[in-house]
Amino acid sequence: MRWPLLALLLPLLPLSVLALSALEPPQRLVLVATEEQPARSEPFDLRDGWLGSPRIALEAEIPDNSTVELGVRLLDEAGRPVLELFKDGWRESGTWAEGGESGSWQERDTTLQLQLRPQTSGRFQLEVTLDELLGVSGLPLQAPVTLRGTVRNHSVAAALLLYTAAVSQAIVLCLLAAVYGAARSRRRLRVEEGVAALRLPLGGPGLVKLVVRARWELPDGAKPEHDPPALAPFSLSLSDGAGQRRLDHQATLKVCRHTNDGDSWLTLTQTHHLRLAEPGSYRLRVTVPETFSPQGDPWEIEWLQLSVEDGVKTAFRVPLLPLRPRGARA
Amino acid sequence: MPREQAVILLLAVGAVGVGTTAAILQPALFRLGQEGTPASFSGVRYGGSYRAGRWVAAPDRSRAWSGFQGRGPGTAK
Repeated sequence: MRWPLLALLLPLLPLSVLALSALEPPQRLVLVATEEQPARSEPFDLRDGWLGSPRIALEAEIPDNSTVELGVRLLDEAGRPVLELFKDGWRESGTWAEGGESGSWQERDTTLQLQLRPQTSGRFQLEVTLDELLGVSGLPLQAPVTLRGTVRNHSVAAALLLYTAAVSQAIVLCLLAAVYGAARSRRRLRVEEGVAALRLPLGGPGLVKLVVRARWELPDGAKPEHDPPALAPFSLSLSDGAGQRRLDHQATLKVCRHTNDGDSWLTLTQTHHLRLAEPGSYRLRVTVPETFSPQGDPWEIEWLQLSVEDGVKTAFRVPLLPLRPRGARA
Repeated sequence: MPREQAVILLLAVGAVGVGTTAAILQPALFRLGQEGTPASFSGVRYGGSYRAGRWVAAPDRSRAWSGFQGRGPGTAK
């Protein structure tokens, strides 16, 4: 069952809108304002519409350790002010020393953003006056202030799009967990010997998932002196309610060796899927070696665990162990 | 499809739909001529506001800020 995986495409929608909006070439503005001479930008378009919204961003370049007050007016085609605002900006840097460490820092607030829709689409201009530029001692500085900026007409709320992508991704993961993590029943059996068997009701739509895990250890304090066994015989059988053997699976499986902090242990993990169309009572039996060959180290079984999930769905086709039809001779 | 899966799928589609539409349309954005002023960013004071569709400059333009706002790390200042 694969359709739930398509839901993973959903979070890509807000991200692609964000990418599309970044493709819009911005109209660039450069203004140089002095205390005597206000600066007026080239005329630019502000368009009314619903596909994104206009955004004007300006960055003032002021000397280090200074504060600035800029008067900004948005003028319409006829030169009438349609908006007036003041920006108080500052830029400061210095060094710090604390606990034998030192470094430099720089902070600033010199950007101006304006987001609004015009009453009607048209050409607009910005007029910037340099009202005040003061040094750190409060004395006026005689320097022009350059403002560089961009005008975009189809900007989108980037933070909201990223948030939407994150939230929808979380919901989609919940959906995938609900589809692929759901089971009609779950059973787990852990024994301290090489044979685990249980009878339980199984079967119906979906698959039966069996996970077998085993762990072997050496007796207390023993150290491995030989190469550990690399393979272990494994058998899995299934009998139905009438006691008839429906599956007899024998295999030789790879054993993994782990070492940590002087301890060594061996593990085996195996997953199988079965399709049991008719519901009923079934008996599962799993066998792994209790000990390994007497010539090697005395590895002993620590535990054998059998996990059974009934009625699971998988995103991709998985290999199924073939069952004998009911009534067929073993 | 079980009902809870349909509900979760609907939620995901709804979240993407609402979030993306709102991010593109920005319905609450200020339009010139609307009462008041646009949203204010850091260090910005508006020199007036819209009343009845016309920009009205505020008579009082006194400065009300303390200059440097930066803190710098700890002992720097």
